This record gives sequence, C-alpha cells and structure tokens, in this order.
Amino acid sequence: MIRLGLRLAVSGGREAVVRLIILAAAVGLGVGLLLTVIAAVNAVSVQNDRYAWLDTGAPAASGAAASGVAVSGAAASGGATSRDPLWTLITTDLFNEQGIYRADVAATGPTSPVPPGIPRDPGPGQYYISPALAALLRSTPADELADRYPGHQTGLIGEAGLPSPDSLVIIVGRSAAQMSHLPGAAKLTSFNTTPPSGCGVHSTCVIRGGLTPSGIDLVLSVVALALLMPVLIFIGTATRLSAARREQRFAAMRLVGATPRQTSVIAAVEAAVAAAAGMVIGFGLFFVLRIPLAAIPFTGQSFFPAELSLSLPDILAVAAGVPAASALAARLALRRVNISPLGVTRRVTPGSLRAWRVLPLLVGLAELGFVVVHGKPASPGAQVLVYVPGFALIMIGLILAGPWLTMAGARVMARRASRPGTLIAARRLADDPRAAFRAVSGLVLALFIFTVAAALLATQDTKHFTLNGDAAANNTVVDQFSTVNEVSSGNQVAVGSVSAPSAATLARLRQISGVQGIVEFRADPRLQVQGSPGALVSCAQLASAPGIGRCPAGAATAEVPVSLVYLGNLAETTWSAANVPAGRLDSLPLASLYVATNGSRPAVEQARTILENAYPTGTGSPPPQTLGEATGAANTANDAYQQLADVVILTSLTVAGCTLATGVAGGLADRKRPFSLLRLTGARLGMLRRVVVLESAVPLLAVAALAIGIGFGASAMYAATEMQLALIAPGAAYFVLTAAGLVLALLLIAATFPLLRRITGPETARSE
Amino acid sequence: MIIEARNVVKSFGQTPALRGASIAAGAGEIVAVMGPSGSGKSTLLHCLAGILTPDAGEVWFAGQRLDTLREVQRSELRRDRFGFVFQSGQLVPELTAEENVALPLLLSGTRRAAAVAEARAWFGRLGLDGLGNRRSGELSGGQAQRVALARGLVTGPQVLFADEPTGSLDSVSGEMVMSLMTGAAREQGTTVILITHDARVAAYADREIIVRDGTVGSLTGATPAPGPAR
Amino acid sequence: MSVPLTLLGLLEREPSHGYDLKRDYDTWFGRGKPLPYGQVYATLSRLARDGKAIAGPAEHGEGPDRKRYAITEAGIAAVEQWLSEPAPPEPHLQTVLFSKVVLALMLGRPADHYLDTQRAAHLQRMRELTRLKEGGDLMDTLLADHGLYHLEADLRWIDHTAARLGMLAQVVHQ
Repeated sequence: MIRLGLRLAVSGGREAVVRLIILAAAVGLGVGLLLTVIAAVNAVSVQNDRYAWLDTGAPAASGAAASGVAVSGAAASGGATSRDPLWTLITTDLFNEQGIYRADVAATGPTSPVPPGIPRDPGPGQYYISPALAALLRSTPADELADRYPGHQTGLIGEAGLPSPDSLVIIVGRSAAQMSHLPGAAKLTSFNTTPPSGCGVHSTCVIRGGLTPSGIDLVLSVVALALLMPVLIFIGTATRLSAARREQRFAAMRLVGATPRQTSVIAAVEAAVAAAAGMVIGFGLFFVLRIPLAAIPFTGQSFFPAELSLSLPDILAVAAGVPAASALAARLALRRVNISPLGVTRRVTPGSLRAWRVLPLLVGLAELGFVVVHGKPASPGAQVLVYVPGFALIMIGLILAGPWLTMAGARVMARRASRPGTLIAARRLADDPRAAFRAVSGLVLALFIFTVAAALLATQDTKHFTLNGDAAANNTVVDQFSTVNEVSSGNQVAVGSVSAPSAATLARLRQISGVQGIVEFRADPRLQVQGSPGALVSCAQLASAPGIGRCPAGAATAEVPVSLVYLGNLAETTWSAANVPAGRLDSLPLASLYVATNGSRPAVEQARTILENAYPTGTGSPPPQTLGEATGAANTANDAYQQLADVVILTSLTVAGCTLATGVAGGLADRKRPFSLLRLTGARLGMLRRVVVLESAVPLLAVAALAIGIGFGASAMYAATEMQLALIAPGAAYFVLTAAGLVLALLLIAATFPLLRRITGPETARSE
Repeated sequence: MIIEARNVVKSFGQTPALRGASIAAGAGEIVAVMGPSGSGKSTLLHCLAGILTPDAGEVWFAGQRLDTLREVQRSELRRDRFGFVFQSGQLVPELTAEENVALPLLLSGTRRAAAVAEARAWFGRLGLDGLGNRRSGELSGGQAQRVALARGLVTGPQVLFADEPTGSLDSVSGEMVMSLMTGAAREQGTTVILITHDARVAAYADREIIVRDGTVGSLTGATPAPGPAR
Repeated sequence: MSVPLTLLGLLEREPSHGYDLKRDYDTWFGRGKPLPYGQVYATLSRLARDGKAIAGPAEHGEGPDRKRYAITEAGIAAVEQWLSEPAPPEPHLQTVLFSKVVLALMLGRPADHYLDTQRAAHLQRMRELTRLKEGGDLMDTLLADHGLYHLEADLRWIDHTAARLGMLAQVVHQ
C-alpha cells in the first residue's frame, strides 16, 4: 500500500510531478521559515543571556540602587563567602553612534570571578577587547578613541562574553585602589547569567537598544504567527491543486475495492512524500541562509551564526511534526471521498457554508475588546496569553469567514446582475466560494498584517523623538553628571559631587578644532524650569553655544532645565533670566557640561574622550553624548520594531504572491472545461474574461476591505491597551503600497487572459 | 440466484430513484438492464454492487445480506468478488495500463511482480499487447475500455457489473468489447449485470429486464425463464 | 397486411356497414391507398363464412350490400389472439405494429403490454442473430448485422411509440 502510494506520488506523469514540486516548494518555504523563527528565538535568547553579565549590578525595576550585590539570576554559587570579590564598574560609551560596553575590573584575589569570554581578569594596564572594537581602535586616531582606555591590549574577548559579533566591548584592568575611587564601582562575587527582568529602555540599566527581554516573547510570538499563517495558506493552496483529479483517482480506487483505510494510507503517503521533500528543501534553505541571515541585525545587533541554531529537540519536533501534520491534513481532506466510490461521477453540491464561520473572527475581536474594557494583564507572560490568541483568532477567523462572505457577496451580486457575465460569475462564486477565496486568502492575510504593522508603527512613532531641527543643537555634546530618576512622584535629581572642569581640561577641549563653546550647567536643587529640575548658566558661556538657546538681553545668568534632551527648538529658545549673580555660579556644584561642536566626528569623539577621562562615567549614567545621539538612543527600540515589521511584511507579501499565483494557475485548470463549453455555445471571449475578473476580484476586494478595516480595529484596541496610545493613521506610503498590492494582484489575474483563449479552444471540450 | 435485490428503495434527497425494484441473476447469467434514462438503472446496479446502501429492501449475494455489511467488507467484496466496467473515467490516470489492471490484486496484497504478470496475461487475450506501459490518456476509447474490462476480470470475479460499457465507443469497438466481455464471462462462469440502452448491446445478454420509474416492470423480468442448458 | 383482422378489429367497436369500415380503414390505415370496395365486401363475406362476423338482415337502399355486420364471439377471440400474440420479428413490421397499436387504443386494450411483448420477441431474435455472429463467417456476420440493425430500428419505434401512447390515445378517441 505504501509502495503504491509512493508510486502514485512520484511517477504519476508530468502533472503529478509538477504538483509534487510545487507542494514540496511550499512546504520547504514553510519549514525554512519555521526553522528560522525557532533559531531566531534561540538566538535572541542566547544573545540576551550574553548581555546578562553586562547587566550585573544593574538596579532592579523597583529602582533600588544595588551596591555590591549580584542581583537576580546570578549563579547561586554558594561561594559568596569563599570567593574573593571583583571590583566591577560597567558603563556604556559611544563612538560614532555605536554603543561600547566597558567594564573596569580589579581582582582582589586569586579566586575573583572572571567575566565570560576571557581567560583571566586583566591586571592594571591591561585590557581585553572585542574583535570589532579592536578593529575600530586600529582604524581610528588615538585621541578619538584609544585614549579612553588606559593600558594596552592583552587579548580578545571570546564569543561567550559578546552578545554579537558586532559588539564593542572592552574589559579594562585596574588596581583595587583606583576602583574604590570610581563612583558606582561595586564588589561582585559572580556575574549574571540571565538578564534581570527590570531592564527596559527607560530604566537605568546599562543595556539599552534592541528588543527588551520582557517584550521579546510577545513580539516573537506575533512575528511567528504573522510569518507562518501565510505559509500555511500557501501549503493549503498548493495541496488543493488538481483536487478534482485526486478525487477521481481515489474514487476509481475505491470502486475497484480499496478500503477507506487503504485510500487514507495512500493519501497520507503522497502527502508525506511531498512533506519530506519539502523538509529537505526547508532544512537546506535554512542551513544555506543561516550565515547571511545571522548578519542581519533583526534585534539591532547581528547574531553569531552559531547562535542561530536549532537544538536537537527542535529538529526532531520539526522533522517529525511536519510530515505528521501533512499526513493528518491529507487524511482530513480525503474524508469526503471516503464516503463514496462514485466520487466525481455523481458530484454532490458541496454543503452550503454556515454562518458560524464568522464566529472565530468575532470572538477574536471580542476578546480584544474585552481587554480594552478590563485593562491589560500585568505580567508580560499573561499579555502573551491574551494578545497572541486574540490576533490568532482574528487571522484564522478571516480565513474561515472569507468563503462565507464571498458567498454572501455573490448572492447579492446574482440578484442584481443584469449582464450574463455578472450572473455567471456570481453563480460560480456562490457554487464554490471556497475555491474562489483560496487564491486570495494569502493576500488578504498579508493585508491584515500589513495594516496592523503600519498602524502600530505609526502610533509607536509618536514616541519617536524627533531630532532638533537645528543641527547645532544636535551636535552639542553633553556630559550629564546628575542622574535623573523617573519615579512615579516626579523626576528626582540626585546630584553627583563633581567639581568644575580643570583649566587643563578646558584648554584641551578648546584646542579641538570644531569645538565652538563650552557651557557649564550649575545645579540648583530647588530650581524647577518647565516642570523639570533646573540649573543655572552663565550667559557669557551660553553665548558661545547659540545652538542651545540664548539669554535675554542684559542678563548675566539664566535658568535652564538640567536636561535639554527631548526638547525641541532649542536654538529659538530664550531662557528666562536668573536672579543669581554670575560670580556665585562657581560655588554651585556642576550638573552637566555642554560642549558645542561642529558635529564632525573627530570633534565629537575627541571631546568625548577628554570628557570621559576627566569625568569617568558612573554605573547607570549615560556617557557623554550629543543631543542628537541621546534622542537617537530613545528611538532604537522603535527602529528595531520597524525593521522586524519590514521583514514580516515583505515575507508575508511574497508568500501571498506565491499563493495567488498558485491559486490562479489552479483556477485556470479548473476553468478549462466549463469555459470551453460556454464558448462553444456562443459566449464571447470578452464575456469570459469579465467572468474571470469578477470571480477573482469580488472575493479579493470584499475581504480585503474587511481585512483592512479589522486590521485598523484590532490595532486600535491593541494600541489603546498595550501601548496606552490612541491609534494614528499610517502615512501615505501604506495606502500607496496597499493599493499597489491590490492592483498587482488584479494584474496577475489579468495576465491569464492570453492563456484563456488558448485553453478554452474547441479541442478542450471533447469528451474525455 | 447468486445476486439478488428485493424491493430496493433508494432516494437522493427529495428525488426517488428506486421504488421497490427487484432483480435476481443466477451464476453465469448475463442480464441486460434496460430502460429510459433517469429510470434508476445505475442506482440499481450501485445497490447490487454494494456501492450504495438502499433506504429499504435487501440485497443478497451468495446467500448473504450485502446491504448490511460494513464499508470495509464491501470494499473487499468489490475488490475480490466483483468487477466493474463503467462508461468512462474509471482508470487511474497516474498508473500505466498494466498497473491499472493489476490494481485489484495489488490492493489485496499480491506482490507487485505477480500482480503485473497476471495483468499481462489478460492483455494478450484482449488484444492489448504492447500497450502495457501507456497511461490511460494515451489509449483510444476502445483500448481503454478493454483495459477496464481486463481489470474487471483479473480477479476472476463472480459478478461483473457493466454500466454502459460501450456508451462512448463507436459500433465496431463496442462490438469488440461486448464480444470479449461475454466470451470471457461465459468462460469463467461470471455473472454479468449489464446496463445499456442499446438493443444491440443487450442482445449479447441471455435476457433483459426493463427498469421504469424506479421499478422493474418487464414480463421477462425478475427471474430467468428456463432456457436451453448451456 | 392482415386486412381481415384489421377490419375485424374495427368491427369490434360496434356493428357497422361495410362502407363505414372502409372509411375508417382508409383514414387510419390506408396511407393514401384506399381499400377497394370489392376487397372490403369480399373480406367481410369470408369473415362471416368463417364465423367471426355475422351479417345482419339486408337493408333497403341503394347498392348491393347494405348489410350491417356484427362481430361474433369467435371474432372477438380472433382479434384478441392477433393483438396479444407478437408478430414474427422481421423487418418492415411497422405497418402491422402500427395497426395493432391503434386498434388496441381504440378498443381500450393495454397497448403498452402488447408493445412490451413485441419488444421481448424482437430482443430474443436479436439474441439469436448475435449468437450467429459469434460462430459464423464474415458473410453470416454481415447478414446477421443487417437483420440486427433493422430490428433495432423497429425497437426504436416501439420505444418511441410506447412513450407517446397517452397522446395517441387522445387522438384515437376523438
């Protein structure tokens, strides 16, 4: 029986082979995508774990400052008592808009913990460096980068310590005495191996950028769903190719005495052959594309190819699951023929579609609505459990409801049809709405995904902090010495005790070609400017940095907010005068230092280097950065989402296009006989073309409109609850692309017209 | 009587096809079933062969109730004890002619080599030499029907069901098929239930019955008249 | 042509003059060739002589035979036997079959029954001819085919007529 099935699947003539190839390609595509998604999940998890050690000592979400204690997830070594602690200070740095992670360490004894990726702790005057940073050091002038790091390179940091091949990480060795003077340095007995849960974009965690650990599960689940459903539809469409032929074949076998079980086995074998071929293709695709894929920074950083890997359970699950699922699907599809060996010789009209098909769609929408009314759940895990099924239901619901809507629309069309072509199209649609909808189902789903992604991104974008229109402001380097904590009762300022810059520092800064001015922001704890903590500046200094505002005429000092980040139109702003004499400023502690530059890389980096050496960055504080970079940092999360969305949209649209092409080709074959007969009885080719257009366009446009509408609705509900924002309409690009996609689909349908004449020629109407 | 239908009633939805039809055939008999189109001839044949289950009435084969058997048992009957020659569309397009003929044997578990060898034996008898490796689409109508006939006879069935076997054929091919069919059937003692509207095809049978409006209504109908011993 | 039996059948409807019988015969069965009076009266005389009809008393009036004839029991039996027995299946039976069907309708007999009987006879003959073909040489086959095709034509007419009996009955009884 199995041999018979193999025989039928493999050497059943040219048509069977073509069908097998298409199906195998579809399955291969799906398997490849599935494997990529699984590997990506693995890789992101590994990458996150590799960030973990850099977050050791980071404050937890509650905001309590940690000092000297390794927080959540650190290996419970139990050697907390027996190990020598390691002085550690982990900070971030910037170079040319890339983040650099810096760890200053000093071992206190032989058993001090060693950061991952290096053989031993570096001693004073030594540093370990990541390969990417080493390359950067070699190609950059010393005063822009290398001067920040005392000592010389002892070795490279291995993969275990690097989140990504592109990571810029340096581990600098210091003496214990030096470390004890660094603000924020702590004694650690071990490093985190899993990331703390409290790290987000706006927390004081060292690691920012890319996808946050808490949001990852949610996003990846949605991405997996959005990628896999179009592929499943594609596989379904490919399976349905020449379904009539398969029915006839199985009916003939049943007539001759094949038991229902035997036909099931044969169908399952046929499906399994295609699935197995597809699996090989899929695995091959994955392994071939693994390395190029790893280089794409999906999460903002590329992966090590080895990270983009599959565990043995993953492989076994896919290798066993895919053929099993396809065999099961074949078995279900065959149930109708199992009943009657008369098969196509006595074709019964397929049962009409019930209205229950609309139910899953409504349930999914209702679920999201429920969340709107009751509020979103607290934990990220619960959020996944709520949103993912909701969106899944909606997507499945669209696919289920599509044929019913097509039938309903067709009935309306039939009642109001005045021309024969319309009537014929309407009746054919109403007779077999499933087949009509199948071809466009992928496209409809892709439109839904596209709409949701575009709408959510547009909404998310309102959090996008635009750069100042004025370049001068963006090019101002700011070194902030006070930390601004966002707490529920308002922002608090913890003022660092920093002394004013030494004359030597100022001289070196001024020596940089491209530096235009230096402004010292002096802290005044009682001062509030524009609702934020305020500082005082000398107008004489402010005049040298016109990009960040000006003083009123005749004022000696002015009040300004401590942090100018996220503020716009700085160049036009006139600050209010302060009634503090300029001389008094010198006695106030320094809150931040603003250095106006011309924005050239040497100027910015040299200024940064000098500032860092003068004022070593503490844990949790941002490094010296230009206002433009500060704004950009806040946007990295959005950019990462944008990138991910682009990938999802592109993939789903491509797969939808494949589905449409397959469906259209299948539709051509199905139309051969009835249309030939119509032509013989006098129907003109033009009318037949109209029928084809109507048959394809009606389901496409009707359900597309619904998919887009529901996409906006679901996005609005998600935005209202999860993102706490009102939905913003996406930009013109979305509408243009959607229209273009629909037009392309219609063009694809129209592309079959030349073939229509040929295949409905009189020779086709011969009795078979 | 080797195969018999007693007062079979069968409807499709609202449409009654058989309203108490009875027919019986003895071993080795060739019975022609005639009647106007839509009279229920094919339905009667399908009920006799166990393809359809009647709504009422009984079908007996070889002394056992056929209509109460489970689908699996009926499939096995069709495979081993019945043969089928329909008007068209009964060969598996993906298999060669040889494999189509061997199909019932393959389904019952015969090894492929043995099954194909038996199939080939029939090819010679039916004038199909050299056509073994062709697919059904590459055969002429008459050749395809002879392949179907070979398939119907390859298991040495007790009953051969033929539904308009020459309906798509020209008169010469049709006569060839009928001649071969009746010749082989008489040789093997196979009962033949033959549906046809063509009197010249019916003339190959031993007797005919007329089905009208879902019932068997002919004088010479249900039971065979005592004829000359063969 | 079985003119006597046809006239006898017409006579079974009601006692009639020869003149009326000839008129009806010409209408239904004449097909352009009217029966000569002489043949009519000669046939009627023979029928009377054979006891299948009986002549009533001569009536006054012009012409030699203004007798009214009536059918006898024997005559009715003869008509019945003729109707219910199938004619030997030979080609060119249409006129005979036609007469039988029309008469059956006129007399209220089961015409479809008679057609069925005829069909069975035809089929039996076709079976015999088919057997001949299987054993014989080419000439035998050709002759047998000739017979088969003609018989088939008759059968087609039989089926066709059987399907139109209702209509025919209406026409006949006008």
